[in-house]
Amino acid sequence: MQEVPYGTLDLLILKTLHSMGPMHGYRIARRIEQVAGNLIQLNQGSIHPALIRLENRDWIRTERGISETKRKVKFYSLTKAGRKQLQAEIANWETTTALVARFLES
Amino acid sequence: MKRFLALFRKQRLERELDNEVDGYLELAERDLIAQGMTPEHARLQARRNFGGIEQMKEEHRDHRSYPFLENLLRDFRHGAFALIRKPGFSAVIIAVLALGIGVNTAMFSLIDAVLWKPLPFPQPHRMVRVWEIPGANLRNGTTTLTFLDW
Repeated sequence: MQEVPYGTLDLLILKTLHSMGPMHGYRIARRIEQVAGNLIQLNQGSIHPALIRLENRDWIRTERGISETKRKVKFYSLTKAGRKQLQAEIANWETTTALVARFLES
Repeated sequence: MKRFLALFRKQRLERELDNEVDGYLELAERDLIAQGMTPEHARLQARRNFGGIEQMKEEHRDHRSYPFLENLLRDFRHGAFALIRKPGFSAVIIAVLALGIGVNTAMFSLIDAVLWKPLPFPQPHRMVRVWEIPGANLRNGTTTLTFLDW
């Protein structure tokens, strides 16, 4: 099992919320693990600080919801600024990988 | 703004945080039971997968408000309570401080007025004191007319 690649957690969270809509923190973590083919492990201990950071930057917001275990919990969803940030991070990621790929080819 | 408000809503935020953690553990447990684990195992495994719960809470606290201000408020509260707990001692301390500051201020005002500020005349260094001593027991016998002559 691998950790999430350094500096990509924000991007993964934003993308997950973008494609799945409002979600609980636990579901976000599970979803990221699932999409990664269970190659990475993501515990709440590491996803929660990231969620708070994103919320402080107004990229995501919280709303009250009911979990599958009938508990009142926070659901996270993307804000308008978050959508913009997601586009920026995707562009950034593509630039970086293209750059590294060019080095590896040469 | 949200972070600032967090300073005053600590108890509620703590409750929310505990609730979030519990909610997460419940969901994790449920998933693990669905995978065929016994409830007890699932419980333990969910906690293990979570990672350090207290560390995560600590990190949460660091991010949700301003730790520096929070510590300052706590120190302030602690100090205030310490004073209230020993009113006699506090009164003495306050009296001593008040006296010290008061005496200092008085002293400084005096020195400032007497020594440091120049005399309120155009050329203070040209001021002189003149008197005459007419007899053994008299200090100053200058009459108005003599004074005017000078």
